[in-house]
Amino acid sequence: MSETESQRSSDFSISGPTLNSGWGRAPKSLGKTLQIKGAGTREKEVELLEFITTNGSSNKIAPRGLGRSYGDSSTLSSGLLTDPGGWKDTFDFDPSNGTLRVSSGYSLDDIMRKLVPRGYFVPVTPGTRYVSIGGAVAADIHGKNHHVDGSFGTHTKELRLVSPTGVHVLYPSDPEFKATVGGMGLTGFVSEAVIDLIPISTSKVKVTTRVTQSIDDTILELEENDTKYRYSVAWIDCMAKGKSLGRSVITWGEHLELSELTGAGDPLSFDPRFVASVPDIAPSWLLNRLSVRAFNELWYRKGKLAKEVSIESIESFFHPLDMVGSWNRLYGQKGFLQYQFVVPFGAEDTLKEAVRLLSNVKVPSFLAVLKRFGKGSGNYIAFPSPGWTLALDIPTHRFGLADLLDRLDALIVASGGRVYLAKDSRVSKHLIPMMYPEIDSFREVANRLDPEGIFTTDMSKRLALRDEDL
Amino acid sequence: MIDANSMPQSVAVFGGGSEIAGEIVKLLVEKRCEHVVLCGPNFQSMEHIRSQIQSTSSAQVDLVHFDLSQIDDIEKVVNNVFSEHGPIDCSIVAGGVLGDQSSDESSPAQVARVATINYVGPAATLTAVRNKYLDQGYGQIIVLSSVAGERVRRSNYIYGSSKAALDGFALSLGESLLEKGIYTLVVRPGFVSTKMTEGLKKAPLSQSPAQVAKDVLRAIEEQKELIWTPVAMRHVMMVYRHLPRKIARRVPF
Repeated sequence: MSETESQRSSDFSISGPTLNSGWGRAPKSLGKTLQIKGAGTREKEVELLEFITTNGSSNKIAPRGLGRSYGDSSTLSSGLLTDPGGWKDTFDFDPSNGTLRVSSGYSLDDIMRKLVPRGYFVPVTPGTRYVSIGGAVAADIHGKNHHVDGSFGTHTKELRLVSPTGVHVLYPSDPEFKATVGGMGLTGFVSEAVIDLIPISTSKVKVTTRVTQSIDDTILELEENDTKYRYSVAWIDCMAKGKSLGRSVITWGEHLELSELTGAGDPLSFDPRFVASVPDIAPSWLLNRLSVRAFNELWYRKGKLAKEVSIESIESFFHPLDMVGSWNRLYGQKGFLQYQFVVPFGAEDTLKEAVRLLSNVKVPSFLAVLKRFGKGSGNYIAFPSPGWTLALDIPTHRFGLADLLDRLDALIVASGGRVYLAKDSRVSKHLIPMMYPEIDSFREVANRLDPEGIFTTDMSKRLALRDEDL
Repeated sequence: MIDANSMPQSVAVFGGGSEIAGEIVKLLVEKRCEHVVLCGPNFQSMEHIRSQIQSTSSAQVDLVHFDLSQIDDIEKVVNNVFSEHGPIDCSIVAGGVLGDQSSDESSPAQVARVATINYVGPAATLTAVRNKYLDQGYGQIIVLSSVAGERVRRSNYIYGSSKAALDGFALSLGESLLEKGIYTLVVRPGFVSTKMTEGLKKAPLSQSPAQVAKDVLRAIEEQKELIWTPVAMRHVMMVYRHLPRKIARRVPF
């Protein structure tokens, strides 16, 4: 096992093991990679099903896309991880109705590079373009437009799913669809999706910036003005204390109309590049309370100096961190986690208490992102639900962090909230049924699609997301 | 599974009667740990630890017969622990004997016994655990070493040298497992008041098993690879390690 071994046939190959983790680089586990061969998506679906039927009992499988979920939801110790690079065959854009049929291995970056120049944008994008379609479905991802447009699943019209019971075509009203969207890859392998795109006339965003002095101020601003804009997010300085606690830079955005565009050049140009890449030698102490405090201060002052309305590119408004390659290495070998929760509207006191507790913690934390969610998708264990969501990155392996986050979990559960599975790497499994009350419906459907629990992940084992004995 | 704060959900103790390991387990079950496997030769002391653990938690505690001196059985028992009670997220290697330095000095059999229980058995156990971890793809290891092994002293060289061997083995095993994502912590306690040290004169900076356990939990959360407990012992040993032999032999403990 210690040596790299390879298993090959004409239809598949297995390589590794390699040490794998999510974007937060903690925890880590050894797993192999499964590549399925075939002339196109349909042929690969059949080959994957054949592989599962023949080898499934001794080979558990974790669907893995680009590894942008933070914790252990795309790793599987002593199991097989799928390879997103092998699932890039279908890319059929239908301009008559603005829909795209696409293989699950394509990323939002791929889609934007192909279709922004033709005047179409993805319906939902998170803070990075480097997520696969499979991952976007599995986490039912959300973006800055959730309060208006909902989550990724809302714009997904059809899914093709390879589970041990067959190749299934799923539509939004199907229970199997509701279990698969937001289902963290545990119902089977999504091979293809049909999604709605939105038309745009320029590749620019009209951005409105407002700086707030306190958490109350921030909450008020978002409540009053969110509905006026398609995109909305507040960046909270979690290292500010006292009267400045919760001070924020709020940015609202709209796709710029062609009529508003000044200056020459292609209105739909889109070609984002890396400006830098972080080498894998950053020590864990690089991000300390001083350096992060200075960064946050700069960000806040930049917000204060910003013009109230400005024009930005898609990449600088939606994906500022994508400009720095492998920025997760900044946190050093010990890694980091992202804590993201949602609490219902009305639980603003819980939100404020959470911001206060996180500001007091003796760890450096960059800006936290605060946003109001619109209505939920109805998918069984999808994360977004109406309320306030807060997300922030924290270096792991700091004394006291485990207890602090447990305390926050308790507050959040008590007010009817939940943490986001795609970010989690540490929640207690006993809280999952309270956070996700429809988990039994999810389990029932997942068990129907995959009775032997062949599709599993390290997260699923840690949190018993399928049945305990699977 | 092990979470991002290094907290395990299951733990096996090799040397299951160890009071220090018992205290560590009591803290782990307050976090994410739900399943404990105590492996040792003495069911009475393991039963005692089991009842202590279960008085404060609902963790399942299994007892397995395991003897560090029966080196031919070690691999079989470890494999059995993983297959019957696994997955095991965290393995604590805690077994050991102090021996009686003054009477053992002239007994080849006793010297061999101390070296076997403190080094040969644990090294074999660690190797068996390593193999199982590479199979299951993850895991963590905690080894209870001793400051006695850092610089072996005239007054307890039989015990000290066995711990020195274990310490070196465990540190380097940890190095070899780093790139596999398997985390190893070596703990060097000073004098700990336990059954093993009952009747001995307490050395400076002595502490209770519960105090050691608290330091160990913190080290796991911070993912340290080597700790001294109490922390001050690190500095004491730093000085002691560098004393010339002529002076060192006059240090009274």
